[in-house]
Amino acid sequence: MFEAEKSNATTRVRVRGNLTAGNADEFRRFLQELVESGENNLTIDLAGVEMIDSKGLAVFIVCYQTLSLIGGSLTVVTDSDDLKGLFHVMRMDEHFTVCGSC
Amino acid sequence: MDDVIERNDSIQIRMPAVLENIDRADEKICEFIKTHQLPIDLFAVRILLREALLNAVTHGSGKNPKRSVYLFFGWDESGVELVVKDHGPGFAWQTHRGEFDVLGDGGRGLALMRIYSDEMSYNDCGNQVRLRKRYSVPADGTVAQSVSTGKV
Repeated sequence: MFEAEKSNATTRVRVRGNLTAGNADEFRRFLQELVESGENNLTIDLAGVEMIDSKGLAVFIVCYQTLSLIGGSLTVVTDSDDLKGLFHVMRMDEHFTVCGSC
Repeated sequence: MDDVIERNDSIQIRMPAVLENIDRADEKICEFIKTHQLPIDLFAVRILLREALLNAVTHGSGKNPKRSVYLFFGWDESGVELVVKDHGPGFAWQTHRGEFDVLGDGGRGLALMRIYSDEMSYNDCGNQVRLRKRYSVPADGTVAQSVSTGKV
């Protein structure tokens, strides 16, 4: 469901399926292990994601806060207007980059 | 899911309070919306459905499979209505100011329901939420029917 691929100084995380209460904890642990292993610049690719609920959104916030503390960065990539809108109405795109291709 | 009662203009579901049933209810309602070709913002409805059920399953029922959560979904000529009820003590909506901290621990579910719905209300004790969403474009006469009462 989650895959990580390192490329230069950035690690790209690909997600398949939805990010909701049912798998939010698993996603949080996956990201936490990446950060603990030294991956400080994460790009999360949501190409295969249709839906994110409040529990899924909370994982992005925790990840952003953790990376901020250690000088890292978080970028979210999605072509979905619905998901871009979701990050926007929750004002999360004020804290980390959400884009269609970056 | 324990019980599903489907009519032309509504669907009612009673289900044990476990997270997996939120996915099942989401699938069922998506199928219902597609079957009836309702001109609704599907993403918005799914957000409303998932957040209302998530509150009922987690806060209202403690994810206890022996407890039941009730969902009513109905449509009429102007939009759709969702009602979700649990047997918990209820949410103190009267004292909630509707604000949320972007970087805070909680409050996102309520914020999402407020943002993505056109109307949102609770019963007095706060264990039943009613959400309405208007159609993206006006429905034609062929889909204009009265919505059921929404009692669950």
